[in-house]
Amino acid sequence: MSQALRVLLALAAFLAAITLAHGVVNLGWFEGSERPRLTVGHLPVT
Amino acid sequence: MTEQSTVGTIFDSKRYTSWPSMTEDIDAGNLHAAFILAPLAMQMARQGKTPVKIVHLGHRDGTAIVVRVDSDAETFADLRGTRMAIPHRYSNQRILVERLMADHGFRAEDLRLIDYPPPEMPAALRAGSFESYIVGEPFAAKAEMDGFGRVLHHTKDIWPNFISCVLIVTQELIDTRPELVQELVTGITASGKWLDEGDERLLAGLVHEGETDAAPGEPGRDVVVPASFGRTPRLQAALIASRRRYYNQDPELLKFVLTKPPDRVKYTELNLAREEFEEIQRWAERLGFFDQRPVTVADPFGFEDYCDDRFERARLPDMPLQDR
Repeated sequence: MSQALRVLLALAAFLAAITLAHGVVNLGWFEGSERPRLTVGHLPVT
Repeated sequence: MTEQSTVGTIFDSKRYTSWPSMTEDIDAGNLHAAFILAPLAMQMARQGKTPVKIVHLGHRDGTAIVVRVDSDAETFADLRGTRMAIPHRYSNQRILVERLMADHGFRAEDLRLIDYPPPEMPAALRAGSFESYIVGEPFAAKAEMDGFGRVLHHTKDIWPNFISCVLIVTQELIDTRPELVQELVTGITASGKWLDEGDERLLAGLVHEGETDAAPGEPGRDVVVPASFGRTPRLQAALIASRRRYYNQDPELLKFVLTKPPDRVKYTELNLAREEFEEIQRWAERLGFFDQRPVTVADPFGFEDYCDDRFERARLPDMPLQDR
């Protein structure tokens, strides 16, 4: 296996790991977010 | 408040620094619910760019006319020949001032009204930019607490049950998600009832100082009630509302607003009363708020065009209170 191929495979593995981690974080972040949301605007004054 | 509950809709708070930026967001379709000045809400409904309806009040009273502590003014009549800051030309604060001017026989030039951003009013009074201002809390209390301002009149004493801001929602939201509007309205009513009539049980998510090792700001422990602060509903609300995402103010300032005196701001009787809105509308017409589309016999405008009170009739939910 050439040096260039090893670098390419390492880079691909790194990107795959990052993508997987991103997905896991996203899942955790949005877990339970099936509750509906509504934004209510206001000024800091009564 | 909704963060304190583990069920139902999550109502996110979005704090604006000016009324125009809020109305722009509504017109752009980015915001479907807001607390906004009552006459401005009517003006938006009349303009029709984005159909909106007033569905509830958020509070009553809570506005005051403030002068410097060294001012000679004892009553509104003493303000003749001076300058007063108002929060917006389409505000009920302006209507109140115009009413007082009429009652005291002021001509238009006897009191110069200046549009001014509420958060900047206290500092501008101190700097001498004007001799008085009228504003919703906490910016009247701010001048009092800082020692350079005093309240000339609370609205509760000169226009009882004064209406400042109202809850509006877009007609699109009413048509597509009426259950969200319903939940919001009944949640506000229940919160108001708890504020004015509740006991000292803590709201879910709040923890008394000394009963947790977690630091303030940690998840689920971000509202710690200091032992010396007190734990009535109004004081719990002061701690919650002082947070960055809501008022972003000193809790002691909001404590002052909500307790000195306790009826400075009222959170009950929040239902839409036709006769009150018709009075505001009469003044709004008189002052030219609808000049872009005048109200005529051929093109009428009334309570049903800007208010929708159907959401005020539902059973109230229980507040998420702790057992002790």
